[in-house]
Amino acid sequence: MSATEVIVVGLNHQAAPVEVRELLAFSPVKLREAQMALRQRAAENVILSTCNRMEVYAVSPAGRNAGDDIVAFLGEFHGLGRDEYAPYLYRHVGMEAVGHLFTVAAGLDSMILGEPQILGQVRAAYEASAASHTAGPLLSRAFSQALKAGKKVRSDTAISRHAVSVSYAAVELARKIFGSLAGRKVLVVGAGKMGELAARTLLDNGLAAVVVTNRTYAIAMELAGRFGGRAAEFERLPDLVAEADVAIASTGAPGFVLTSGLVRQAMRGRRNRPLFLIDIAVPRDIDPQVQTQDNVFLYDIDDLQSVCAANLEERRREVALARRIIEIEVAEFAAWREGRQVAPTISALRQRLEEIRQAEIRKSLGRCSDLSDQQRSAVEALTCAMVNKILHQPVTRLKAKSGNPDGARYDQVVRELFALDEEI
Amino acid sequence: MPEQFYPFLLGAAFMAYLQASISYQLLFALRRPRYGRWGTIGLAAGIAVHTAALLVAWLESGRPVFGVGANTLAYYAWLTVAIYLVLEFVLRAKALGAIVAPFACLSLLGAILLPRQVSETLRPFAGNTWLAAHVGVSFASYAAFTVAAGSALLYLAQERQLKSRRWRAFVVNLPPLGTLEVLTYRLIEIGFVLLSATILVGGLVAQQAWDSYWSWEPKQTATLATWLVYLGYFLLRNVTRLSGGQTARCAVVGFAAILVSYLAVNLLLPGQHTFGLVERP
Repeated sequence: MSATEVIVVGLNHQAAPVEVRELLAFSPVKLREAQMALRQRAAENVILSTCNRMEVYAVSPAGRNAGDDIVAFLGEFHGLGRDEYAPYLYRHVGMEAVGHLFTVAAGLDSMILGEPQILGQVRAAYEASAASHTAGPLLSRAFSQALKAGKKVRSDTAISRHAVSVSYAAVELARKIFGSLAGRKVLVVGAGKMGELAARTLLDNGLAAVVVTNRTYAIAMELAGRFGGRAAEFERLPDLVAEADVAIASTGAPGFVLTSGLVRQAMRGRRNRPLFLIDIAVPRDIDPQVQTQDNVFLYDIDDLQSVCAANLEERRREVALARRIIEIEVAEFAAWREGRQVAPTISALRQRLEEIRQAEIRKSLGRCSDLSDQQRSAVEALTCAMVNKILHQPVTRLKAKSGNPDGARYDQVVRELFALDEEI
Repeated sequence: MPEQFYPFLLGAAFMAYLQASISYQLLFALRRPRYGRWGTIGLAAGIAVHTAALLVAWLESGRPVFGVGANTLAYYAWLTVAIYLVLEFVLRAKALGAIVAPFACLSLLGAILLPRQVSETLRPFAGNTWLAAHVGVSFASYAAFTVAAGSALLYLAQERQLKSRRWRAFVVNLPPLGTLEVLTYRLIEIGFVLLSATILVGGLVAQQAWDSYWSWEPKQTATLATWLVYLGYFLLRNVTRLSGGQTARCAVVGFAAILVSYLAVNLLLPGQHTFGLVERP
């Protein structure tokens, strides 16, 4: 009998183009049906399907053909010819599969290194399988350990700490300047798409009021409606800047909309409050000269992108540390797995010796019926003590070996020597 | 018996602060959270030993001894570390440690190396409660101003980075500008109240000792100048409402005035506040 192992078959954004990923994706509606169909071929399964990856985790016998069943299942379920999808798939078996799962959960395998959503997606995939009872003891343990590893990597390393998108870089900078964003006002000048995105991200992160202005008032009204903010006339721009804490400019104007003079005037009105200016327009809307003014912090699109690049570099620096954390977690899982393998052996061994002891006691005591109760219990105690003494070393050593690579071999030898798999 | 422990305990506290200083610098350079933990552990262990040292000195002389010669430095370092540790706990930010820990280290080194006796002119008043209060409050104000200056320096460094638009990992560990500005302000507020009290109580002590509240003695003059710099800080910040950067510079200037007033006047110039470096018997 060959041992069962965790197996993963799947593809990610690196292995396959989006056209192929689409073909193999499992919609939430089809997920349960797929889990049930897979149960015919593998003891346990969890299906992880996101826009950047599709992976089937299963428990089945290891061997040269491990995972073939799953590959075939994918083709049958999605109605695909083998050539359409099979060349894109990767597969890992045993501890490699477990290591892969931990790496995915930690965000190391994501398109954006360290991105946070994947951890929730891994949890959701596991919970879906738990709900339909397709995740058994092995995958349950693997997934809960993967979630633990993912959390630990995120808390102990800086891998998902700093913003790597332009909008989030703007939020992070605003936090660096103001501290808390609660109650801060954001002004949106112009109706550019990037500006809208940045403003929305700021609002999602706690900024309070939003004022939208545009040369065409109707457009300002429409945009303000979408934000739940208010529109203002373009002529009031100097006052609006004076009132705002963050101003995002993304107009299509050919020249500077926020000139040096306008900002200087606005700063006079606002006394000691810093002003964070974000220029997302090309050509630029804000005169770069305003940067020389006290308490004015100007970032254009290139600056924000360089912030992202620097942050991504920070994240990459953390990969080695994250991998070490994962190694430790994988080793912990492996130890659990080995320990689980010897546990039945140990209890079988105890049971075997106990059976022998009781059989012998029955035989001996049956022959000498003139023993007192006290003498009988002395014999019981003596035999119990002997059995325990004899078992002590082998059990301790078996447990100790269980974490090691040769643990399985010891387990096998003990079963063989004591004939634990046979009825006597 | 206890007096033999004093230098030993002070030395141990110094070593702990040194370890903390190195850890906080490493935290800054390498940004690994574990260096931050080592820094905090170093400071916490240091202040525990340091407290024991001050208690030993107290037992030895039967009263709190922050007012005796180089002991002022030990007392000042203790207060600085204590204020910092509270702030680290409240703000959950360790950047200030990179400035405060080395400073505490240096002060403690001074406390260990400089002579520990009272100047001749003060000897008759060694047991005077008002004198003790005067010295105690003055060094408490120094400690508050020290941490305020550290916070102001971080403000300036971070403002520079944000202005330059060259985002470096340096900024990553710093608290926001707004937080640093308010922190500097609050600490200077506390320091200013304590410094004012120092001057008032000092006047009372001077009246008892030399029959004159104010005599334009070098230390008195330097302290008045320092007080005026911090008064200027409040005017700049609350009345003219200059930017955070400008008021932060003022906070640093105020601390420079304190350094001059302590190092130059107390240690080098002759006067009633001299602690024995120039007029050692």
